Amino acid sequence: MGINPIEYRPWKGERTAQGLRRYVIARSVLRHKLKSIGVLVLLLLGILFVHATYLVLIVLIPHERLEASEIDAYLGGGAFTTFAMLLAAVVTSDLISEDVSSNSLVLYFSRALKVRDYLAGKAIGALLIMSLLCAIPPVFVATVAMATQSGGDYLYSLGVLGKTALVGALVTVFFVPFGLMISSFTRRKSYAAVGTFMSFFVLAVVAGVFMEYARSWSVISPIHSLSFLFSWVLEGDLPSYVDEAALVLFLASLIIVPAVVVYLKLTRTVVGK
Amino acid sequence: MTPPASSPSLIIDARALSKWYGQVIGLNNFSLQISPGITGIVGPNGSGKSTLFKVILGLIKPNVGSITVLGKSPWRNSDLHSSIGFCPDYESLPVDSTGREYLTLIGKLHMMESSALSKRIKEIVGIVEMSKALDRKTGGYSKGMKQRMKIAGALLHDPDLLILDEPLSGTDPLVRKDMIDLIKRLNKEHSHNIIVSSHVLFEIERMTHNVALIYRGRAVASGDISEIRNLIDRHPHNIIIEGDGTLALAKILLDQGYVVSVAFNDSKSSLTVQVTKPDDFFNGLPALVDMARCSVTNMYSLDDNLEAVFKYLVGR
Amino acid sequence: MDLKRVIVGVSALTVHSTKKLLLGKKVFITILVALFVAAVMGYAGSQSRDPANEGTNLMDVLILFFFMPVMAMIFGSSLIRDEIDDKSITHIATAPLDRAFSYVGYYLPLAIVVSVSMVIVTSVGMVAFFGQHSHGGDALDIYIAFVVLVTIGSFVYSALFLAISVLFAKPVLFGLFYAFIWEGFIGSLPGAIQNASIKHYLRSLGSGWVDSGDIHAWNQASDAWGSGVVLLGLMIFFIFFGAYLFREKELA
Repeated sequence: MGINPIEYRPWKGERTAQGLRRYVIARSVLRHKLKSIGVLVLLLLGILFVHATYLVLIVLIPHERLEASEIDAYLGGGAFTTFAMLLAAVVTSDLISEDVSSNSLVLYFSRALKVRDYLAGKAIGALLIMSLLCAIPPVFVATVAMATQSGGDYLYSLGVLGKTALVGALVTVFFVPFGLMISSFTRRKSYAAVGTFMSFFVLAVVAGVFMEYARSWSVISPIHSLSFLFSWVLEGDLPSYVDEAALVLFLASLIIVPAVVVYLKLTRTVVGK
Repeated sequence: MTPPASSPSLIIDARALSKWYGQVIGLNNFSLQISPGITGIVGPNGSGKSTLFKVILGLIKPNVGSITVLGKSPWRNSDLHSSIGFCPDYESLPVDSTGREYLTLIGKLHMMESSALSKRIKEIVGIVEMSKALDRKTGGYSKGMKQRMKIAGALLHDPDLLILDEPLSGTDPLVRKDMIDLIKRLNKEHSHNIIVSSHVLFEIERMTHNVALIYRGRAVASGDISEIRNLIDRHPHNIIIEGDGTLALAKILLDQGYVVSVAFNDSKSSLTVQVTKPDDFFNGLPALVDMARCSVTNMYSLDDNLEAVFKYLVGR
Repeated sequence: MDLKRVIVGVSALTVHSTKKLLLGKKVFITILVALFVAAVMGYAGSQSRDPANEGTNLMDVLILFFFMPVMAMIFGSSLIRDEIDDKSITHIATAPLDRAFSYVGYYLPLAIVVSVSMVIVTSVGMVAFFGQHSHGGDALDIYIAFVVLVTIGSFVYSALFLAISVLFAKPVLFGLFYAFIWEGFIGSLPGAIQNASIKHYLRSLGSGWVDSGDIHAWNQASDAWGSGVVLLGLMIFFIFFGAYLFREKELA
C-alpha cells in the first residue's frame, strides 16, 4: 500500500458558511423563545388586546375601504407600542447576558464566528419573535379589512396595507438593538429586562415632565415618537409642534447607537482591550 | 422531631435521614455514626456527600430522620457553628473582597478580637501559603488559591470539627500533597476532628483509614478501609480476555478452582471470566495461555472502579 | 442569647455590606440618577413660572414616587439574593450568628445607603431647580420635608424589597410589578383601595408637611400621624417577616 498523498489547500482568505452560522444562532433563539412561557403570554395578551379587538371591530363595522386614519388609531393608541416594548425587554433580556454569565462567549468565539455574525444571528432571532406581534398581525388585520371592504378602491387600500407593513417592520426593529445593548451590560437576564423597560419608561416620564413647558419634548418619549411616526407614514401628517428632523434623529439614534455600543462592547469582551 | 440521644463520643449521629428536592433524592434513609478523628466520606458525583454536609451544617433540614452534630441538632442552631469550620466544594468567596477582608469578616463573625484576629490571620495564611496573595481580590485567585483561602476561612476560628468538601479538587499534585499533610497534622498535632469528602478513594486513603462509602444517598459501608477492600476482594471479579484460540483457553480456565464462570461475549474471540481470587488468576494466566496455545490481544478488569464497588455493595 | 456576640456579628456584617454597597458598581446608579435629576430639574427650573408648586410636583413625581422605590428595589433586591446565587452566603449562614440577626446586618446598611443616596439625589435636584429662583425660605421648607420623606420611604421600601429578595428567586421582576403596577395603578385608584400601598401613606405625610404642589392639595390623604405609625409598622413588619423567611430558608 503506497503512502496516501496529503493534500494541502492554502486558505485564500475567504470565510465560508457565515450565513449558515447566523441561521443556526437565529434558529436557536427562535426555538428557545417559542418555549418561553413569558414570551408566549406576552404574545397572546398583545395579540388579544391590541389586534384581536380591532380585527373583530373591522369585520363587524362596514367600511368602504381600508383607511389610513383607522390604522393610525389602531396602532398609535399606545397599547401596541407598550406591548412591543415589554416583549422586546423580555425577548432580548437573556440573549447576551446568559452567554456572558455562562461563559458561552468562549464557545462561540473559539469558532470561526465574527462578532457581527453573532449579533446578527441573535438580532434576527429576536426580530422573528417581535414580528409575531408587531409585523404579521397588523398586516393580517389590514388584509382582512381590505378583503371585507365594500368599496372598489383596492389600490388605495393596497397602499395603506403597504404602509401598515412598513410601520410594523419599523416597530419590530425599533426596540431590539436597545434591548441587546442592555443585555450585554449585565450577567442577569432579570436585570436586563428591567433595565430595558425602565430606560424607556424613564424617557416617557421625562417627556411627560418637559411637555409641561414645551410640547415638542414629546418626541423623546418612545411611545409618543412612534405614534408620530405612524401618523407620518400612514397619513403624511405630523403635529405642528413636532420637528421631523428631531423625530427621525431620535428614532434613528435609539436604533443605531445601541447597535454600535453592543458591537463595541462585545468586541472588547471577546477580543480584549 | 427530637433527635434521639447520641453517644457523647460521636461527632455525627445520623439516623434514617432522607432529603429530597422535588423529584430528586439527595439522601435516602441515610444512617451513619462518625467518631472523632479523620473520617473520609467517599462517593461518586451525585451520591449525596454535599447534601449530607449541608444537613450537618444546618443549611438545609432533612425531610425525614434525625441528626446530631457534636451532640446537638444543627438546624436553626447557630451556636453550633462556632465549633465547626466548613470548606465547601463550590466557589463561595466574595469576589469583590480581598483575602484579608474575607478572613477579617469571618473572624469578626466568630467574635475574634482585632489584635488576636490579625495575628491568627497571619498564622493561618502562613499554613495555607497564601501570604503573598492576601491583599488581592479573591475574584482574581486561581482555583487552587481559592481552595486554600476557603480552608483558611474554615480554620480561622480553630474549630473542633472541620468539614472539608472535596478540598483537593482543582489543585495540582504538589498542593495535593501539602493539603493531605496539613489535614493529617491538624488532627495529629491540633486535635481537630475532620470529615473530608472525595470521589477518589486512594486520596482519602492517604489521609485516613476510616471511611464511609456513600452511593445514591445511602451509606453503603463504613469502617476501616482494609475491611472494605476485603469486601471488594471477596466479590467475584469480572475480567475480559480477547484474542485468538479463546475456546481452548476457556476449557482450561473452567478447571481452575478460583474460576466461577466463563462466558463468551458477542464475539467468539472475547471471554468474560468471573474469578474469586484475582491475584491467583493473574499469576497463573501466562501458563494457562501457553497451555492453550492461544494469543491474548487484550485483557481488562470490569471492577477496577468505585462504581463497580458501589454496585456490588448495594446488591445490583 | 449572647448579646455581645449578636452586636459584634451584626456590626461586622453591617460594615461588610456597607462597603459592598458603596464600593460596588451600583453606586454608579446613584451618580447617574443624580446627574439625570439635576439635568431634568435644572431644565424644568429654567422654564418654570411657578417654582414652589412645580418644583414640589417634580420632586413628588420624579424623586419620591419614581426613583426612590426604584433605587430601593435595585439595591435591596440584589443584596442577599446575589449572595445566595453566588453562594457567598455560605460564610454568613455558617457563622455563629442567628440568621435573623444576620438579616438585620443586611437591612441596616441597605436602608442607610439607600436613604443617603436619595438625600443626595434630592439635594442635587433641589439645587438644580430652586437654585435658579430666589425662594430661600420656602425652598428650604420643601427641601427639609422631602429629605425626611425620602428617608422614611427609603427605610420602608428597603425593608420591603429586602424581604422580597429572600422570598423570590427573581425579586427584581416582583419588585417591578409592585413598584409600577401595584403602586402605580392601585395607588392611583380613588377610594380605600389605595390605602394598600406605601405610596399612599408617604403621600399623606407629605400632604401634611409640604405647603405647595399637588401633594399639599391632595384630598384623599390619611391622617399624618396615623400614616407615620402605619409606615413604622410596615417597616417593622417587613423586617421581622424577612428575618423569619431568611431564618427558615434552606440554602441548598
